[in-house]
Amino acid sequence: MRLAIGIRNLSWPRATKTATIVCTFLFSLMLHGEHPTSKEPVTITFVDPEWSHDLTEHTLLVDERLKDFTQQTGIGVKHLPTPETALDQLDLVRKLLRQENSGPDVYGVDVIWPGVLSEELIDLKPYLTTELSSINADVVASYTVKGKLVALPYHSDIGVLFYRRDLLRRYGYGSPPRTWNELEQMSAKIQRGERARGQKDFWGFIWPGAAGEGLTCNALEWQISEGGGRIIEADGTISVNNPDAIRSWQRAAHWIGWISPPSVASLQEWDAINDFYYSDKSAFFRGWARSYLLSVRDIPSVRDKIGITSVPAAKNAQAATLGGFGLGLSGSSRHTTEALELIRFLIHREIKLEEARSDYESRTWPELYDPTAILRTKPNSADHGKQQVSGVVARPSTIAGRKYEEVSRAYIQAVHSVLLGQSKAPAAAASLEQELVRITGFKPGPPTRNRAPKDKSSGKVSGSRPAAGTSTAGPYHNLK
Amino acid sequence: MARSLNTTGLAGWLRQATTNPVLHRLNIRRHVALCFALLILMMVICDGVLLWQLRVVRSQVELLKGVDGELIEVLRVHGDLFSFYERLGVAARSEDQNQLTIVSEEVRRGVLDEARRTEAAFRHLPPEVKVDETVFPTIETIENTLSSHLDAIRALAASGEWAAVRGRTDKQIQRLEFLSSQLVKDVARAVEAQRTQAATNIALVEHRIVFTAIVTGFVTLFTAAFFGWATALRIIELREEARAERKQSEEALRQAQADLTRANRVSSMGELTASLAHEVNQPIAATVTDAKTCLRWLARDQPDLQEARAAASRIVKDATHAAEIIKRVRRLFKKDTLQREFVDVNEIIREMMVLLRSEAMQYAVSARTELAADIPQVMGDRVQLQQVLMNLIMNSIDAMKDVEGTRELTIQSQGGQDGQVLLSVSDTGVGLPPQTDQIFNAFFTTKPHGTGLGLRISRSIVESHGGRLWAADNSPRGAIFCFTLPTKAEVDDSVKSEDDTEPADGLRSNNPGV
Repeated sequence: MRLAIGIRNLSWPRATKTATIVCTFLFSLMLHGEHPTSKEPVTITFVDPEWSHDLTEHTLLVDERLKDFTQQTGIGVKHLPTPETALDQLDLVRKLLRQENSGPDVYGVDVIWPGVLSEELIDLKPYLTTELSSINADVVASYTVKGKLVALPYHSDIGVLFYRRDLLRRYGYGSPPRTWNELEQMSAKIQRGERARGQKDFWGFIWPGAAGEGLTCNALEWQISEGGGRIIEADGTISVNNPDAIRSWQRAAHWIGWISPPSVASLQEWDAINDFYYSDKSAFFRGWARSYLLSVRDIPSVRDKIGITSVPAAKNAQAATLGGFGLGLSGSSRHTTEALELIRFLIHREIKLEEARSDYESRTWPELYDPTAILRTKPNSADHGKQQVSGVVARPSTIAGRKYEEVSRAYIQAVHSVLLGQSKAPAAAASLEQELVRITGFKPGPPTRNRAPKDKSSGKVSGSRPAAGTSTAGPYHNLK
Repeated sequence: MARSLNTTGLAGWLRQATTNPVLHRLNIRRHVALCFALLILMMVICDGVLLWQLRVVRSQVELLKGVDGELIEVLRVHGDLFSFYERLGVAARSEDQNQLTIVSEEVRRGVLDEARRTEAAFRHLPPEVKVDETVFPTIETIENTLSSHLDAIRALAASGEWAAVRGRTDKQIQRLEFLSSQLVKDVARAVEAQRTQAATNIALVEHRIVFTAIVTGFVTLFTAAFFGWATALRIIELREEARAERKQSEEALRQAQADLTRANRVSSMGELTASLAHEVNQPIAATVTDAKTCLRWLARDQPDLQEARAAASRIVKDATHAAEIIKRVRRLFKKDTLQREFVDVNEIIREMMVLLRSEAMQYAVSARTELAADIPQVMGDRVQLQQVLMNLIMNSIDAMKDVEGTRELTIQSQGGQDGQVLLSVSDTGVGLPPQTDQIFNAFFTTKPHGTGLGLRISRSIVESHGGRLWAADNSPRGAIFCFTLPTKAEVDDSVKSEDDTEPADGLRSNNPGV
């Protein structure tokens, strides 16, 4: 009896305890298998305007660089291309940036677009101060919008003239042309000669004349060399409607069918390069320095055949357009830290490469020059016995800001119509002026060629580069 | 209607079940509550686990569907783009500007369409699908780049630059194709990984469900076992309680009975007081006479010692006789402690006759005994048996008090059947009342001052000795009361069986007397 009561007294807490144990066990069973998912390696996406559209050595170089980065950091990089032309690039980048989620992290931002994309991209200044110190302040300034560093300058480029060493030798020219007139004469002569030699579709001078940003760069060089101003001056004057600019357009239009093929107005840079490099169908080609420096120059056969020089001058001056792109970081990126790491890595590589290159160049090919050297901060790099350093001019993207896209489209449309002969140059210039006034709200006026050149310390490449200035102030030597 | 009936039926059942006196007596509500709570908890947990697992499976199925959708979408985009490339290539080689324009226009529409469809497809992927973040931008980029190419190609074709057109279709578009193939490969790999993950998750779900079922079964069994065990314990306990209670009440009853018996005895003795006084007085008077005689014999000049001694020994005898009577009376007054011993019923009869002789004489009753020699001794309580005899004898005397004619009281003892001893008290009194069957009931009496307990108690005593007491008419008149008592041999058996039988039997038979 007593035993039974004893057991009964015990049974209550024991039952409770057992129930608790069973319940705990069940709950733990529930939690079983809910192990935290292992952290997946981060992959960031890099939209690279230099993603080559054909399998050249350059592609391999970039891919290798990104592979190195993945090896070092464990961060994967998805390398995405952009369309070829800057305007199409802008369309894509804008589209991708406006996607709510899962957009690419790092964008190559063309030097002309910081104003347009400044809101979608992060200010990089706080993150990359050490890197900034080793980059030309003027170049940095062209990526800065209202104090915000929209993109970190990555690759800077300037327009140059490519020429065929063999053909120049063949027709008795000792040096490349320095002015448009010389270019025209040489082109005409070589073209005649080559056609006589049987190459019926040979043309003297090809350039990317398709309706794209490349045309803006070319036409800007033409009109600045004639003293036709910078479309919109640094102080906001719309100077495009002036006789010098009109004359320069007319000259270019005159080339078509004379020394340039009729199809030049539909050639984009890639097509023009192909024509020039691989089909030997022309003597001169207006291209960008980087493509030469990166790939062409290192192939001895090509190096012997093709040389580069500065864009020809006219009565007034000589100008080379500033190109290139910087690396911007998407505001909606979910891997900001990793993306910054990639930007840092690429910039460090680039700086190291630049240093190695300038050493290597000065030792190996003292006769070759690198026009982009003037964009480096080191002043001595411009002094390696290279006299031909061009004046660099930036497109009016800084002053036009968010409107630059429209400005450029209007400008392209006007110039392209003149090239195609669809409209007369003065009428095109006049209507362009109205259009630009409508777009920007700025006032029209004459170009700044008559004004006193600004001091170099005033900063930006664009600002410090009076387009028609005859001054040789600063590291940018204008060539006569 | 049927439903409400059912519910009332159920409610009624529930009410009945909860107010069930058995359940109430068992006092296992706490356990019932615990077990039900545990079972319900178990059910809830089990259902929760199952629901949760179902959700997991469903999400995995959704995931698989979405993942397949993603792969199909990417494959479709790749296939469509590939066909665009092919057609562009064919058109480029044909060097037919019209055809190229048509084709490129179609391709542009196709690409735009594709872009829209891709966007819609990716937007409608279930949230479980971890879409590779780069997939959609890649497709978008490819599509944008392709349409950019289309512009260039059309412009080139328009100006007759067929070589450049071919250059683009061959080299640039080849790169795009490479990119989309790469994308397909990446997505296929990711999809494969997600599929594997989903398969693992589903296997895990299977394990969980099986395990939950086993655990639930185990807990249910455990609960049922616990419930049964606890209930059994409770029943045992209740039985123990009942037994203790019964013992206690039995004890009380026995006590009450003993007290009653004694009270009956005392009251009987009280009725006998006069006769007893006479009975005691006689020897004392004899003693006094004898003492005087003795003194006389001694006071003679020549004392007759012979006579004096004889007188003195008579004194001794009478005094002893008186002392004996007093002793017996005292014994009857003594508080009861049941003492079972072997007694000679003849002796008991004789003793009672000594006590009651004066009473009988008082009412001119001639009492005689017919005692059989050689009857065996019986096991019993001497005082209680004397009490029975006393009750019966006094009843007989009472019955004859007012009767004319002979008044005879006969007490017999004889060896009965089956080794029993049969005692009977017969009289020539008024005889049994018409309600013969009631005379042994408590409080039934025919006497003006009777308690109605005498016969009842007598029967209880006889029955507690394993015997029987009954009454019958005497011939030619009067009544005869007989009772049997088991003898030694039989007592052995009956004592044994009495130990075996529940004491409740005694309780039951005595009950009405209380």
